[in-house]
Amino acid sequence: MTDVTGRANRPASAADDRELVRRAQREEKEAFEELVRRHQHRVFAVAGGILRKREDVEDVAQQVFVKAYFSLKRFDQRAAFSTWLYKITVNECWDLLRKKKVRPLLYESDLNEEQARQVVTSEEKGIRGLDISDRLEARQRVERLLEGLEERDRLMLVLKEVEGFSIEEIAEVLDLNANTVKVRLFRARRRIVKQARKRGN
Amino acid sequence: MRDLLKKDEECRKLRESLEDAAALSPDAVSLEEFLEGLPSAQRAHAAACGNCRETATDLFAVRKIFQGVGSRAEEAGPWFATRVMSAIAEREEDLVQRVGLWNAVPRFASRLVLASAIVVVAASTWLYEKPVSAPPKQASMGAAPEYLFELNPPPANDDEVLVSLAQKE
Repeated sequence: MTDVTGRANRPASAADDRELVRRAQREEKEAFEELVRRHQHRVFAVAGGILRKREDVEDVAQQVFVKAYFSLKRFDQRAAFSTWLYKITVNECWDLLRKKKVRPLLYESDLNEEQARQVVTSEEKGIRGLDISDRLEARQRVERLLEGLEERDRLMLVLKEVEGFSIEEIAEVLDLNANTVKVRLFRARRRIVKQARKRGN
Repeated sequence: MRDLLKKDEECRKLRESLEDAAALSPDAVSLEEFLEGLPSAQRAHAAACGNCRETATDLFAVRKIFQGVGSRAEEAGPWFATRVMSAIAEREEDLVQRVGLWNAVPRFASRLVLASAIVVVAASTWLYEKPVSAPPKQASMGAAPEYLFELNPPPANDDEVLVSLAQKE
């Protein structure tokens, strides 16, 4: 689920997941389906931080859960299920980008009517008080500003500023030290602000 | 030197607190309001230290930039889990079929070996008992070659060549 601001809710506690994972490892499909429901929003958030096309995000998210299901028996629960899942997500996204080589920007004009409606509807639920065209414009503006950033820094910023991940969560997802995340975030912010000033935003 | 180290330490502490302050004041409309979440000593440091002030300004500015950008998390519809489960079922079915195919191999392997052995024995017996036939004689050995498009046959020996040359002259 998402909260009022449209951010992905905190994942269910690791303790709750542990029992579901155990049941899923015994091939109880309902348990795995519950895990999917619990983590789908955050998997979409992480994938959406790297990929821009909605269809790519959906495909990768599905691929992540299918992969997780078939690798679940090898998952020893030393790390939290969520961390393991988000790492699979990041790797799948980067694999997809490597295969595609280029990352086309997503602009409103790239969306068909139905997709645009879905984006708008999803944003309508999240951010109230902003005009629809303003929101699409905001996304496009941010996409352009993020272009100059390294892949990892871009993901960090999106996870922090849009999806509401904590520093610790970002560190886990990206396999980095929390301090490294902080330093890189500060640098990324500085670059974004410089870019924005240059462009007169 | 000690002052420099102390200042560095203060800067580091402030930067760490800034992230927490940012999380605590999501609706701050000005930088001052944004910094209000910090302890007074750190607020004073932020006002005095240019670098830290810039860091705080960046943090606040980036938040403004990202304002209005919707989360992608909402894109996961209620149908998604069902879609994942059917993709898993499909993959499982595919795997079962593949495993079934591989299981059939050892079952048929013994029959295949037996059939191959019978074929080999029969073929070798037939080859052993087959009478050796003489190679066919080449019928055209001594005959002169035939030419389709030549009016005169080619000379048979050197004398005929000389004779034909003399006739031409």
